[in-house]
Amino acid sequence: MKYFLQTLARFTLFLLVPILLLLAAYFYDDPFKVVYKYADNSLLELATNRDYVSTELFLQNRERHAYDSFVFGSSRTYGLNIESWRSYLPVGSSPFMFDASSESMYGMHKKIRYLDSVGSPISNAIIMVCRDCSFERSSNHKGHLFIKHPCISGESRLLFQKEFVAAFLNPVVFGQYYWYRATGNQEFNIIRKIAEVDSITNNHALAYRERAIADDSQAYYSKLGDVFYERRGETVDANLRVKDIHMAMMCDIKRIFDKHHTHYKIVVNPSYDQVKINSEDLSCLQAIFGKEFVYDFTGKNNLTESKTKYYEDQHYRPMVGDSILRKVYGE
Amino acid sequence: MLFNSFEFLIFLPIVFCLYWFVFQGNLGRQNLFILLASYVFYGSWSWKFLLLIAFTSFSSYASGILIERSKSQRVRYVVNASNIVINLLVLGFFKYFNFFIESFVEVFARLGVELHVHTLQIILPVGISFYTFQALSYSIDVYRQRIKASGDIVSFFAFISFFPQLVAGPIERASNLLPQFAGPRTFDRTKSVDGLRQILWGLFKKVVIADNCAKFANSIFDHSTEHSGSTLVLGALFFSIQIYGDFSGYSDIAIGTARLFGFDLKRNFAYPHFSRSIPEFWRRWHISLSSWFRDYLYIPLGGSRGSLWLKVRNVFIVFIVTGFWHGANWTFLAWGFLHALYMMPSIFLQTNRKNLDVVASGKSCPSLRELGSMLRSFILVALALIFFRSQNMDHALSYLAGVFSPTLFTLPSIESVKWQSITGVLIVFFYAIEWIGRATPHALFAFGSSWSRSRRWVFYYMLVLLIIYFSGSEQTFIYFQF
Repeated sequence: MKYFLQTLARFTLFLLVPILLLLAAYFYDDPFKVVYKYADNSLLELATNRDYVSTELFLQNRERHAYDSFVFGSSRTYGLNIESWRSYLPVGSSPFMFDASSESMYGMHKKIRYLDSVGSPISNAIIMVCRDCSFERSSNHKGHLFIKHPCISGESRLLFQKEFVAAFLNPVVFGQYYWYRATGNQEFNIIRKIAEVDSITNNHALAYRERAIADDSQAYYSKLGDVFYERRGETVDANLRVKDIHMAMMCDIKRIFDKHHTHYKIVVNPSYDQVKINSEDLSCLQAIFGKEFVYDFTGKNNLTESKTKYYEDQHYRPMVGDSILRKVYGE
Repeated sequence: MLFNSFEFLIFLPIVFCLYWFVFQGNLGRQNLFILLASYVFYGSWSWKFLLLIAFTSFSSYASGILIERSKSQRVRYVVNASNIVINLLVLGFFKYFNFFIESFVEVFARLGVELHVHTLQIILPVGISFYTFQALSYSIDVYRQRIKASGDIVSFFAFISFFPQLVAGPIERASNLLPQFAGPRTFDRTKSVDGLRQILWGLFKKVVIADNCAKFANSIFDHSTEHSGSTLVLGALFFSIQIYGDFSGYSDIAIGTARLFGFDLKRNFAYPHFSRSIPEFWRRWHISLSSWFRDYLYIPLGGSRGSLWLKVRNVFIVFIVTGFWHGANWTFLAWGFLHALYMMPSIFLQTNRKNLDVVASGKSCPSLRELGSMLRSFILVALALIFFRSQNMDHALSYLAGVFSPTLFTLPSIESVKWQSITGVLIVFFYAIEWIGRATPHALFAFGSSWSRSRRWVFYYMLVLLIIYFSGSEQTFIYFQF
């Protein structure tokens, strides 16, 4: 037993020393800006957990700005401009983009419950449902870019930090981070911040892509080439994505909306793939939220036809968001 | 807690140290400690279901004693049957209640009668299929007088809930594991070192191979209507490798962990992807489950005795029930049915007892014929797994229709060339190591045995770094849902 433990100790020591050094670097540098508090999370240099940024901004500003109108959704909310939405809201409304990367119904439900629990008014809400990813999860996300803020998930801060530590221990991640620290170069996707974030509304926009398109749209879209793959016309999603647990979450969301007398809209995002949401899933949404409040933009339509309405095959541009707003607010 | 989690990394050394340094020398206390540790392990999933596992354990324990003490064959039969019915009812309720309600409603709907029956929000207790079967095998073996009933309740409860194999097997037989609780365990360095190697390989299979294949398999299956036939084939292949890496990886970690505590669990996988036929595949895949169904369902039904049609009937029953064991969905039944069909040629030609040896035994490469047989078996298994992976029959059938469409002969669309290439290289590396070790209990058993220690350690460090590197996108073990 003694020899076994000694051999095991020697084996693990060789691994532990660099890991401990990296851990020390992690807590000293806080590369993902989740260990310590910062004055304004919208100004953070590197890409980090969008759910965390959104939640921290909300916590920092909620008393000063008294938010009462919220957009919930995934990174596809790049295509929804908060200021465009403000024009449809009652005067004096204070909108906030409460989004997260790869946001799920789990995440949106947790956020809405959190808002209710802290007494935040929810006078207006838009829930941007993604046919393909909103119902993939029924529990907390994994991975440092996707795990929910501990305030939202109710889970331990230790488990939250663990995801970031695990990510940082990845040689590619710490290598790219320290390359950035040494050179100032954000050439690697893993750390590059790509959106500009408004420090009050948390509106996020891919301004650099809009500038590239404005400068030379032909070059922008030619460069993307096969990203905009050939579609075979409208198809219907054969998968039933809404599970019982999601229905329970949505019923609870409806209950909270009713409690706050929320004016809400449920938008099923258009997508370049032109795949129509499964009719049973759509019926679930309509049954829970009311047919008149659910807007389905999936499938083949004028918002999914042209690639120039998209940055790439996953994210639509604000012109699509504006069209969505005009439709749902009855213009 | 998952085996590849930070919590287990803390849990295991603590339990190991307490087990060997505090409780060794007193068997009763050591068994009690293992029982408590196992309940802590299981309770980390959900403490509410501890009562359920305790109930299952007690039911089988009491049944065993009653069966053994009774002199009346009728009483023995009734007690055994009651234990089976009670445990299967519990399993049936948690696993199949909603399925039967929904199927019932659908049948009536097709007859034009609308029923308003509500399904329940039933949470499936982790591992219920595994420990229920483990408990049942005990009472049946006592009834058959194959083993003596256990009089030690602590050992028995520890046998049912033994944490390395509790949530996803191997499904242990009392004749193998229970005597190990009854006898003193001494620390065996060779066994423990090999156990650590097996854990390392299991983690590699799960975190590096299975979880990476899962990313592609999930993407293709979840968007199956958007992909060409060739891409759908790729999805099926990725899923086949994923489920093997995931499940056999878990089994390796379970067996390796048990060895750290001086226990020998039964082998659960014997390189099934090197099978030359479907009967051979089933002798190598999820061995603990297939042998359970052989001993407690197939043989009591008559097995291979009797007419050919009786044998065919028994094979279909066993495989359909095997499918049903996996989950409350018609897709699992279809998967089982398909495997029964696959078995038919060998049943009719009486070749199901062929290929009992290791493929290409004593040779470094398989012959072309052997390679062809392995590929054929792999493809058949992968096609059946389409049902296993699909959400429902519509999804499975539309997936298959997509596979067997003209787009099968186009180039597959590759989402992330770089990552699929890396995964491809890792898969080749993985199968190369498995091939080299195919005659041994696990791939690293004798791998590098002729190397110097420093060279072996460099190899192990490489595996550890790969595990750390790929550990960011954790996926749940597939078989936890059963």
